[in-house]
Amino acid sequence: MKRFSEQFHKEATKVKMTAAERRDLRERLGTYLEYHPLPAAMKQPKTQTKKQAAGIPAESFIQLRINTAILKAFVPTMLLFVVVAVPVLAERTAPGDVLYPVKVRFNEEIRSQLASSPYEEIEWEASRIERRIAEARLLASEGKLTKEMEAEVAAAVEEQTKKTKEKIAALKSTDADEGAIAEITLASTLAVQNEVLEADQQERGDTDSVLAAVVAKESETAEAEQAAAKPSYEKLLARLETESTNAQELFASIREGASPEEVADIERRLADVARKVASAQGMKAEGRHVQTAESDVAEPAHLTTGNGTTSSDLTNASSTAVGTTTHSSGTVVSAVEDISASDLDSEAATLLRAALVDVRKLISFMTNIDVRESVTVDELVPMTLTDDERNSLIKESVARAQETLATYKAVRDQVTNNEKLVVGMEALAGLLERVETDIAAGELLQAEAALAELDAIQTDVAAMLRTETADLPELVADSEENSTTTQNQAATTSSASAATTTPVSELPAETVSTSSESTTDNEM
Amino acid sequence: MATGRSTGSNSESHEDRFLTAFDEYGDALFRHAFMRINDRERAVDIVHDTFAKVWGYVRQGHAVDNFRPFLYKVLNNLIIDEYRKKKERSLDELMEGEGVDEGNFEELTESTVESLAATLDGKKAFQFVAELPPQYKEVVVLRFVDGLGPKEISQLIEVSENVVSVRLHRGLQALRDKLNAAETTAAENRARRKQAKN
Repeated sequence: MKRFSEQFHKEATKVKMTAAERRDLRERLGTYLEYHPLPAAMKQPKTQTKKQAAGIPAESFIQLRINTAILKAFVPTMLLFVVVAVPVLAERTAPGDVLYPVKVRFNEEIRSQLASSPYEEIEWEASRIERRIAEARLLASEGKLTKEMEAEVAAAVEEQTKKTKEKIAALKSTDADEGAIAEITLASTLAVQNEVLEADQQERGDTDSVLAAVVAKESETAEAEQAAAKPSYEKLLARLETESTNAQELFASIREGASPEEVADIERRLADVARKVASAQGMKAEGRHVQTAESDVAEPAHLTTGNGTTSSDLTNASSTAVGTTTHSSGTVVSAVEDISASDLDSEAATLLRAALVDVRKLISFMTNIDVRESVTVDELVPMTLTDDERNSLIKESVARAQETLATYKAVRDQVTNNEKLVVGMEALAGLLERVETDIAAGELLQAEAALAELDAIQTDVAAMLRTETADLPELVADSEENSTTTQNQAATTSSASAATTTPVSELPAETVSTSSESTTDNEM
Repeated sequence: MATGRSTGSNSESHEDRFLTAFDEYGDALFRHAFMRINDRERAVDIVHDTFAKVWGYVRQGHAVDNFRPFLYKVLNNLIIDEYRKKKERSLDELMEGEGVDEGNFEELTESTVESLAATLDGKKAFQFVAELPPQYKEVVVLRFVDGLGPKEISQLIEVSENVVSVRLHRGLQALRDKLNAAETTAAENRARRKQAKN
């Protein structure tokens, strides 16, 4: 068999196409393929599904492949568009834009939901107020802000503030301290915006801005509420630490782009805050000390001396803070005599609160370019002076007062009705002495208080002189000028509370009103 | 060679795979066709038509894993069509011997086919293949030229393996008879020439 099939096969292999026949046939087939090409869908053999010989019609597969291609190309694109592009685009809108509702009702709500703690949520809600106001200001700068739209924004701000307050109230019911801190946050946010809008108004010269009025009102009530709340010292300190770290980081990040003055300004504010914290901590430590001292013997002298620097710091701090803080600090100053450990605690807390407000304001100053453009750091967070600076300022004032006293002495005989002048001069001399002893004792606060008194008397004497002697214009001008500068210094260094005619020890709580009176006198 | 090789991988285009199949099987198909119909030009045409038909099948979107059996199937159908067209031999003739296809035991076994083949001179027998009746020629060519096994042949021409064996047996017997006849004639011729010489 093998032999047969071998031989047979060998013979058979002799039968084959000639090279020419073979070439021709291949060419014919090539042409055939060209004239009968594959359908376009089959050009890619890789993606083609394997089909059985007597299988399913190929067309259905082709159709499906087109569909998946469309799906593959469009679905991710559409998803990307809806999930990423729309919110990103919406973020840059202002009221009246198509995507604005997406920003307010989607982006911001989502962010609110994403907040990890109730406090953070309130923080975000507060910054939503900022956003509304920033939008309004953007529109105003483009000249697109109509009265109706402004009213709408004002309503939105009110609504947002209400919402934030509700959240704060909810937080307060579970965590009073956090709630109180949240109130401070809201108040500082509103205060910053209030400043900004006031600056705007001044620039434009219009006074009937609905938005500004609303913000001013809200800011005021928020301040009042913030002042009424009493967060614990520890919570305040913790929050303050977080916020100052944030502020430091922010500062580091913007440092390169800022001008040297700005850098110096912010550095100074941050240092001020640190100093406030340090003195608050000192106060707290002292509070503990006082507590033990109280249990032995209550020694007022010791208390006053011990309290001197710190409480002056406190007054100082609160004067830099917003109006309401000044009220409370005024109370604190008036109660200096009968200070107790718990008072010291609350003073420390107040000081920390002032520091926290400052830090919050600094942060919004650093983060919001529109805030930075319209207000200066000084308007937002006035500089807090160090003890040395205050010392030198007091000394300057004293020197000026001595000069004035010398001029009074010179003109005493020229004045017809000089009893009053003599009394005034005696009072001035007494006060000057008090100031000097205070400085020697290192009691800046009391020195400042005495200076303010001195200032008030000077003003009174000058007024008297002005009415009684028309022939001494140069003296009047001189004393007026002097008193104005002193008054200004008094306003910066010490709080307005010190500017009174009554000694600190007898000072009732309504010092502020007296001080404002004296200020008005002075400006006459 | 029970199963044919798969031609090319999936990454090649259909055209490439198809032309590769022509390069591989073109000659064998031509040989088969030529031996069956004994006409060179027609054989080339039939091979062309075979590939054209297979290509049409591919174009419809069918996947062809293994070209070889598919090509043989198409070729075989075309050759049968060719017989029908020629009508040189009637269909009756084509069916000749079908009635006795049950065969006897001897005819039904492969070993008898082998032993019968062993008695034959392959080289000489080859010359007489063309003279075999188409049915026998089909299986003999598939078996000894294309090297297919009985099972493959039975699948290809759609008859039972038994029928394939019977036909092979009878085909070989026919070849032996023709060989013997030729030898006898040659001997007679030689004797006649001798007589003529003498």
